[in-house]
Amino acid sequence: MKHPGLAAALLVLALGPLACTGGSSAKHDEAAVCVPPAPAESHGAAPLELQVLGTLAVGTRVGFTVPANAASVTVIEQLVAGSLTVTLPGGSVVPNAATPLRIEDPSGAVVLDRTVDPVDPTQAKLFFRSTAPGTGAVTLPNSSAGLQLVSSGVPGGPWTLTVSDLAHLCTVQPGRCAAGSASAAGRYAVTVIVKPGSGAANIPAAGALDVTLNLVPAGLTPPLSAATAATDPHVQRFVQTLGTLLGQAGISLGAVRYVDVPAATAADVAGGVPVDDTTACAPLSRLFLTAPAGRQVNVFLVGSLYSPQQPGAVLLGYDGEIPGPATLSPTAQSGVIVSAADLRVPANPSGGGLSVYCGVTPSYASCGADRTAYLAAHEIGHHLGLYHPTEQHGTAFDPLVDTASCACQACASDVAQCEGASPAPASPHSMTVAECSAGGSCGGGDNLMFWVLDSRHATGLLTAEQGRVLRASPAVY
Amino acid sequence: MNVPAVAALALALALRAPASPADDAARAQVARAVDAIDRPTTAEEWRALGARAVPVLEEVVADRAGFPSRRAAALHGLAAIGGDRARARVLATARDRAEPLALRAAAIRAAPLLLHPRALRAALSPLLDDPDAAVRAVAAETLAAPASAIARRSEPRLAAP
Repeated sequence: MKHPGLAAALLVLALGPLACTGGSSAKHDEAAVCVPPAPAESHGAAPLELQVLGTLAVGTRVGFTVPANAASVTVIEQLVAGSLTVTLPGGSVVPNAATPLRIEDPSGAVVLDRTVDPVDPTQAKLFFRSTAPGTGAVTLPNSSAGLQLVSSGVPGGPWTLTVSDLAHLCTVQPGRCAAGSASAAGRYAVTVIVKPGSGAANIPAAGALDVTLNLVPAGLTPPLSAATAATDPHVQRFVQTLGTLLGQAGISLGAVRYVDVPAATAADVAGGVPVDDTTACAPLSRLFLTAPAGRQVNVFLVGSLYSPQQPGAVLLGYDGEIPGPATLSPTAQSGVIVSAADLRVPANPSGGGLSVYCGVTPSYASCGADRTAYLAAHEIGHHLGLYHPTEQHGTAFDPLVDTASCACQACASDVAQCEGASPAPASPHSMTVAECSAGGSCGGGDNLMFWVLDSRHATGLLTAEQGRVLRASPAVY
Repeated sequence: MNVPAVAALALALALRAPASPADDAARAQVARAVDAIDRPTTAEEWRALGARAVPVLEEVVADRAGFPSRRAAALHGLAAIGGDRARARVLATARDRAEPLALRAAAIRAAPLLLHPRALRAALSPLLDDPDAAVRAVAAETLAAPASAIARRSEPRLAAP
């Protein structure tokens, strides 16, 4: 468009009727949230043990205490002051991910060292690969080595951590950032959450998870709202299947609540949620900041998700960060977003209704409620600490030994197209479920956390180690 | 045997031919791309699949009983690969009030891949009067994107203004 004024006029004309739903309050809300949100408080009640370490500058080394026989320890940093982005040497701008620079256990052993990228993630006592800005969380255990470390309980006694973010890491390792991006100006509110152990293995063999479904009524036709969700057969099938999937990890679905996203924010995202912009002003952050408080996972069911950087590209789900800031809300990462576009397929099943059509066991190929539940369970898995067993290009893997992996060089149909091949392919090969269901050293296509949902192979499988990581989350009680 | 008969026989044989390994590979790659959960398939990745993916993508988009999210992703694939048929399909979907919002929104957002900014304005402006407020908003956002950004993101062969 050559005339910005014309573009603006078009926008105003088109949004005119929308403004009626938000009016001046929408503008007020926007002004209110267009600064980094104030740090949220934890809503985890006893027996979780909360240690509020205060607002600390990056580089500060601080102590905390872990009682004997704990199941897990979670460290959460929330931005108080500092940058949300960092520029890399190549010029790309990435989120200024917040996480401690270093964590040491009572023996002085290093559990996390951000200056060292682990060669084998499964051997990292604490694994970190999040890219979310503002709020950062890590939970021990989240790797095979971490699970081994806490097999007799998280080592009890005095621990230390060094507050940090990516900009601060770049003051330690200048080559990681572009000149001028390194900064020691960040200040973070730091909270430690200790989950007490139970039973011989400390990590409970079973648990429960509360879920709040945050609904955007205008995103679907007919509208999906809190008023009707409890009696909507598609939503109820979704809840049933979500329970089945989580049940594979020994987690039962606890309280399920239905909440409508506030009208002004809902109107903003009725046509879809853009996921590229994670700044405080963006619709994504504004949506997460509506998350109700409580010890739960907030699932936002929206009409669609899209990537403005890739015009026309859609996503099926999105997690604020891995893991999410369990029990803290609202933050700009307080929950997961799932496309509900398929929820009502089929809209009017004949011959016995939805339960007959969808069957006794989940049908991800034909039942939209089951498919949507699978997506929600996948994103909840991220929120509770799980990574993709094999990432898209088959060159990065999760930190767990018992999840099958699927390396491009071993499993791809055409290894010449693998990322890193010479000559470099125009577009690196993406691993398919078929390739990763071939058996032998090519597996994981049936895992809930595989990066693609292929209804022919998907079973929603979760391994024993994945189950332990999930149940170690402070969100699970 | 006359020429039309030969042609008809060839066509019949082609239609009855079992799927080739190449077809199967294209189908697997399309399935992977439309079912990616939280990693958007990029235009470059779609283009890497090439023309062999087009019939599979058209099949997915045309299936009105199918999942809207898969159809939306396939629509993006068609737009990224490009061509007159893709352009017609994308614009028809954007205008079709019987289609789900998620699909129409994806079509509107994919249109800049296929149309020069002036042609884009002509194609999407009518949607500013659509009865669905969300469709109006998506169309307005797409039209309001700077022309330079649209051109930068688009493939070289755009429809003439």
